[in-house]
Amino acid sequence: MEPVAVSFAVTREDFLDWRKAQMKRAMAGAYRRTVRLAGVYLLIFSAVAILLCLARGWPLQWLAAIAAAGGVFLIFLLNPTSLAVVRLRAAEEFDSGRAWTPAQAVRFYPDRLEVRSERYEAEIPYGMLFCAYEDGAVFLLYTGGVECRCIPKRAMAPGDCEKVEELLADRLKQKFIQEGAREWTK
Amino acid sequence: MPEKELMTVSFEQTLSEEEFACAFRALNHCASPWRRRGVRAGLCATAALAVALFLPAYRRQFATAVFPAVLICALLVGASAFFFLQPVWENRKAHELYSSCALMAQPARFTVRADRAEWKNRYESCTEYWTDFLFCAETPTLFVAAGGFQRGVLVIKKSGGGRVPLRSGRAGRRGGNSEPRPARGKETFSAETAGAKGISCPREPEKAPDVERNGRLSLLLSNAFAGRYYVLKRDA
Repeated sequence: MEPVAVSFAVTREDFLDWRKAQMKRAMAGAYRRTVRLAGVYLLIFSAVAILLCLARGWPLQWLAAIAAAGGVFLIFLLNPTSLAVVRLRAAEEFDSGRAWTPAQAVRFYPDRLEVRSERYEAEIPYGMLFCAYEDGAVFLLYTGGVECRCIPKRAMAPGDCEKVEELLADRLKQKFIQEGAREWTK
Repeated sequence: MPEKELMTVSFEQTLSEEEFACAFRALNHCASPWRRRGVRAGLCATAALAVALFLPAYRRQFATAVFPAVLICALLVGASAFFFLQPVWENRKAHELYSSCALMAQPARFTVRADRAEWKNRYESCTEYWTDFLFCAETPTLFVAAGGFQRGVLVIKKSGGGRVPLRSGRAGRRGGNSEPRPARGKETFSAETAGAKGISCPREPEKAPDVERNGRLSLLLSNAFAGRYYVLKRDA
């Protein structure tokens, strides 16, 4: 099987997509469910407080309002707000030159991943990857819990994206997380 | 010895989980004063004391002291938790990071130069420049640099570890050192003193320390990091 080769340099937009994807992965699964559950609890608490306020005249209206606002924020606004903040910080990081984004060549072999760049060369078997993540714009290949390499989809030839998806899904099994594509990651 | 050789140190090392945990604690200690367990516990205890000072006034005003008492208890519990449980949390986090990165545990050949470090293991070879890192900390057993582009935490073990000369100076103090360590340090750190101080970092008492290598590494890194170089008298 011919390896899938991708050569690219990370642009500003890629870098923003990279950071957004990292954040979405960090906030996926149990974290997202917990936050939403906390929001639901706050809304329920708010409703109970309003009922007590109306039925018994307890002065809980301010507490109910704060709880309701907190619940709405956690359920509907936390994700977009976090994404906006991450995007802003990533843009600052890139513009200030703190993001090191050299040209890279990545090859996906059937048994390993090859990365070549100015200061880093590696041939990593898929079994040594911590996980991989895919969203609409990028693939993230995690070599550690907080270390990852970004491969923008825009740099891939037509059809290569599907080949890489198949390869990662086959080699990494449940360690390959596709945003919204698999039931257990929704 | 030629100057070029003096400014290069090559060695092999394999990082264990305990050593990484030790480096991770040192990194947390130096990253910010607010991350230190003593500072956090002290803040909580000070806040508890401040609330306790207002207790009589509160009682006169509201004829009860339940709320401030609960607050004081919560703050004292927080202080105890920070002081006693933070090392446990840090070790747990270090374990997570270490076990997530299989490449970190590989035996690697390191070459440390004045401007950069290069390392190569079975799967990867990498060059990181010191200017890319945020800061570097030296403990009695290792050097740890934080914030690299390829590897967020770069750990360089000291040779030996059974008997390492210490710098004079307070823990956590900033400052580069232009002298090699063996020429300055008189105080020594040994496995016996470590046991007496209750430090649980791994030691290799059977291996004789290469004092010259440790001194050269210390000189190289303190010059490279200058104001971003921290020295810890004992492991965090």
